[in-house]
Amino acid sequence: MSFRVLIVDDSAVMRAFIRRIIVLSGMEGAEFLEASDGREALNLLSKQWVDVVLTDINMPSMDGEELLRCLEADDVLKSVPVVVVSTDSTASRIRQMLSLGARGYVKKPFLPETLREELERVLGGAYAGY
Amino acid sequence: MANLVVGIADCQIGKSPDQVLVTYALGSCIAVTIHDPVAGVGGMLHYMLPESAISPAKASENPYMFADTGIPLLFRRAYDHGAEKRRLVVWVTGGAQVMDSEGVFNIGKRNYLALRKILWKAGVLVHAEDVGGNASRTVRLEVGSGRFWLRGPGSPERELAPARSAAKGAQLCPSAS
Amino acid sequence: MPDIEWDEMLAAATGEVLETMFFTDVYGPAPAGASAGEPRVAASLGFEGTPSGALTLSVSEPAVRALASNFLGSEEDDPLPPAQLGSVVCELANMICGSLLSRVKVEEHFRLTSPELLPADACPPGPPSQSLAMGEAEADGTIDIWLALEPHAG
Repeated sequence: MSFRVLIVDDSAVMRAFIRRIIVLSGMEGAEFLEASDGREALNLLSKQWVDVVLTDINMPSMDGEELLRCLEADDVLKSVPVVVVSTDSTASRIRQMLSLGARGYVKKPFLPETLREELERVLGGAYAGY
Repeated sequence: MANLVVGIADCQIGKSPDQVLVTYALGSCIAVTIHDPVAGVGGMLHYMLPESAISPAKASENPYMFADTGIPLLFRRAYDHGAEKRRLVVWVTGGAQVMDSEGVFNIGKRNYLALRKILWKAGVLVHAEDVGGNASRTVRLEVGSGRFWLRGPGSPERELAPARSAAKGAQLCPSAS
Repeated sequence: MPDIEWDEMLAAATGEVLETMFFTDVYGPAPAGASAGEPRVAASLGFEGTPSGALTLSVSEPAVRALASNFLGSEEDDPLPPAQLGSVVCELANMICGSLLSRVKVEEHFRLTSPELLPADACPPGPPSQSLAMGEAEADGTIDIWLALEPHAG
């Protein structure tokens, strides 16, 4: 079974950017799921397992904060690692998301290797980063 | 150890474990250094300017002067010696904001941005960088060990190591879920 | 905070976003009239916090194509569909706005609305808060940004 990544961001080009970084990090075999907001993400997660979730915060319909709360409230989904990728780099927001259960945080704008390194840190040996 | 010196607007490939690729006095210039730990191949390019379009004649005479002609050649030459793109560890150094001979203060940053664009479009990620600032840098790569060292004026040499597991070069399998 | 400091932070945020994710240098203020009479792509988004407001930007069309190909890692002679170009400008606006707000207010959350494309002639009247020259050569393109802050009560 391949490594499955869920990317949650209302920008299609940002999802493509993130996907490209993960593939170039050595994860050519990864399977990607995409959602444009938290509600779509939860819908996908109700149907299939993922190995990691990368999520923005500011999104219509359901934002990243609410998505994280929903994941943490679920006995099964709370074990899926979540990495926040957001323009919001205020200290208060980072503290809040980490205390809600996010395992990693990448601030936009970011260099590709910053995301790769954060994923390696969060996922450890499960991630074939170079 | 046998030093293989990379001059200004120059590129060298090292294939023997006893070789050390070294370039001196990187000011606004950039050194792109690559290493394949499995093939035991290292390469270093020291370029001066971002775009060859400003002087195609100079670029055909010496493609290593420019980022857009030099960087692809560096990689191609390494591949010719058995390096593989997915195994390459990549260091980027230099791009200091110094006044160069044309009095252009910004050339270091433009060199860096040109490199970032070229590598991203080529699908190559960077593993470690030390760029900007005001001081010139001297860097060296030990082809045998894959270790990379950096020195500034008046400061001791220090290793610039990739952030995590990059140096191994062997792909870990994604965990079976 | 006086408007002038917001404008300076805006220039810094714009430079950081363009350099980091679009590999594009910002040279400084654009020459007067540089943005006039050329096709441009514009996007706008709002933010809620203290203060609330809106950010609108417009970018010269050739520069949008270059920015998009840089961001997506495609070659410049690979034409990108207009929807992708618009999406890139929206994400550029999103990142500049978010980066600006994070610089200005370290200890407060802001909410950003989803950015939307605008007809270029729907940009706010009056001069932009910042008009910057950017690209790989002098005046390769310009980015105009309007920052509107709502006065808050209390």
